[in-house]
Amino acid sequence: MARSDPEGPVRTSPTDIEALYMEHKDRLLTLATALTGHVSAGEDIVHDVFAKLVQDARRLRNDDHVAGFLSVCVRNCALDWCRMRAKQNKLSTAYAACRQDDPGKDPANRAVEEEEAQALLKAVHKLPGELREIVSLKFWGGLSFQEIAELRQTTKSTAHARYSEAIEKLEATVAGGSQHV
Amino acid sequence: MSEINKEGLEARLERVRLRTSQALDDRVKATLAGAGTDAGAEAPSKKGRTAMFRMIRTVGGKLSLAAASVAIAVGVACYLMGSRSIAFADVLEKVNSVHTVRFTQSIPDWKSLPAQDGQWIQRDDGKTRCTFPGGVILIFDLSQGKALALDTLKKTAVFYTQAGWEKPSVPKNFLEQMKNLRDSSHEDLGKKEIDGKSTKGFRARTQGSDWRIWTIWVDEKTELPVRVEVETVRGQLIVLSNFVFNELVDESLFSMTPPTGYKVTENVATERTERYQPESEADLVEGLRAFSIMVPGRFPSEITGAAIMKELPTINRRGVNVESDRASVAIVRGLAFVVRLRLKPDNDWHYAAEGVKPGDASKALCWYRPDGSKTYRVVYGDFSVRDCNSSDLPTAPSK
Repeated sequence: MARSDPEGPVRTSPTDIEALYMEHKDRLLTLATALTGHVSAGEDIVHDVFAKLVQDARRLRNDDHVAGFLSVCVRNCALDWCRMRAKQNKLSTAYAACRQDDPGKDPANRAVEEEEAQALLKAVHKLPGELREIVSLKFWGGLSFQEIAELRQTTKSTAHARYSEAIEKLEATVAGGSQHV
Repeated sequence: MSEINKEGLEARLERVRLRTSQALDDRVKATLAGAGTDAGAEAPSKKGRTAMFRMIRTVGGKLSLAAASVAIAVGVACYLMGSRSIAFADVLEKVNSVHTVRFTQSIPDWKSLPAQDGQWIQRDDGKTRCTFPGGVILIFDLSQGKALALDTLKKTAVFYTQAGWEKPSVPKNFLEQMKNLRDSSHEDLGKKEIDGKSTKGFRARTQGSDWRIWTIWVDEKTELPVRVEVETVRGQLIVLSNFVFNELVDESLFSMTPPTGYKVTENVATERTERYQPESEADLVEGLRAFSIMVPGRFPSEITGAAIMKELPTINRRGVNVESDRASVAIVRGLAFVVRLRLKPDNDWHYAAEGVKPGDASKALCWYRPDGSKTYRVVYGDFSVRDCNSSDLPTAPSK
């Protein structure tokens, strides 16, 4: 986005919002997919967030604020999606549509990375809801522990402790998974 | 996956990044291109951001997925607005959640005439019910191409069905048209009190629709319209008021089955018109003929919108039925043809029908010169039409 003054108001036109989308889309899709377990749901959520944003965009003046705001919007939408989803498809199916194609990468490396990404997202999605949310917001939401704590109405130390717990569980899951490979 | 420690796991998680598909990119870009933005209040301070997060969380947490979009909109509004001020996008958001609307539709130009206000109920599935003064009720199902006209005084019913009906690509009823308004080209009109309510006004323009310019006064509390004024492509002003949104409406009000005791007088089945047919001289003749039937023994004093409107009470006394319906269409098409003629001086339009008795072959009703023609076309009282040189034209009445 074109910004003449980091602290000053900047007009947010559809073009600016499109630039915002291009800047954050992959991160937000990953966040929504990690929270919902479904790429298609993640895509819908990302689309809806930007559709609503463009309907009522005002002046934004700080990229950090925008990034966090978008993450929170995606997170809330994803949580609502999860609440309403009575029956979820198998994750393996859900992640089958996961796109990691990068023309510049060696196909073999790309396949390995894609497999690893899917395995990690699966593992994250298997975490209990609170831990899953904290990990997702930390890695793909771009929020600090302080911001996560405010969002979850808890303390920074609690958020950090829960994050550590999540990482330990993920380590165990990944280790267990590698033993089966 | 190879075994990894905490740092390695975090690094790998950091690298996990899905890529959006081209389809999603295209979808979002299309949405952004189809909408506009509204420059307004400043973004909140960083301090305000914490409150914003809490508000989004609270609001979002209480809403279901179906309302998630509303939560996002609320969040966007909370974040982007310093102090809450209603924006046109809020109105569109609200209108999009409307399933049923009841309102009064009136045409102020007709106010000197007996009340023509219609009481409308519209649903977002295309079903519409309109009650006109005089006891006539029309029920439409736009999704099926069906209509039912009930005359509550005569206890008669007429069915209308259109073969090969396809839902119009351009919205045909108020609710659909309102939902198709876009935020991109509106102007703020400030505040005004209407019916004791504090309202904020917006003006929006549409393309590809008969309802061209919308002036919408919105209740600042409900963010829903209180009064809507629409200017049509023909310059007609339509006013909608007395709105009631999302009320529970009895399904039977939209029933295509006539009430017990009603006699079905006609089933009118029409073919779908593939394309709009421009008005022609034949429409002018049929319009004059129809008028002489609806208002027996004479022709209108002029062929203008105002002159035709003045005759409405007489026409309405004959009741709304198939005959009057067809006559109205003919009269309106004839009027449209004349309007086009009057716009071009070269067509040299003249009207001399006042005082002429229908059927009088010796008296000319009107004449004009078709585009590119050296001769005139003259319409006589017996509805015959003849070519005529300019030297042989009837004498035009003095103005």
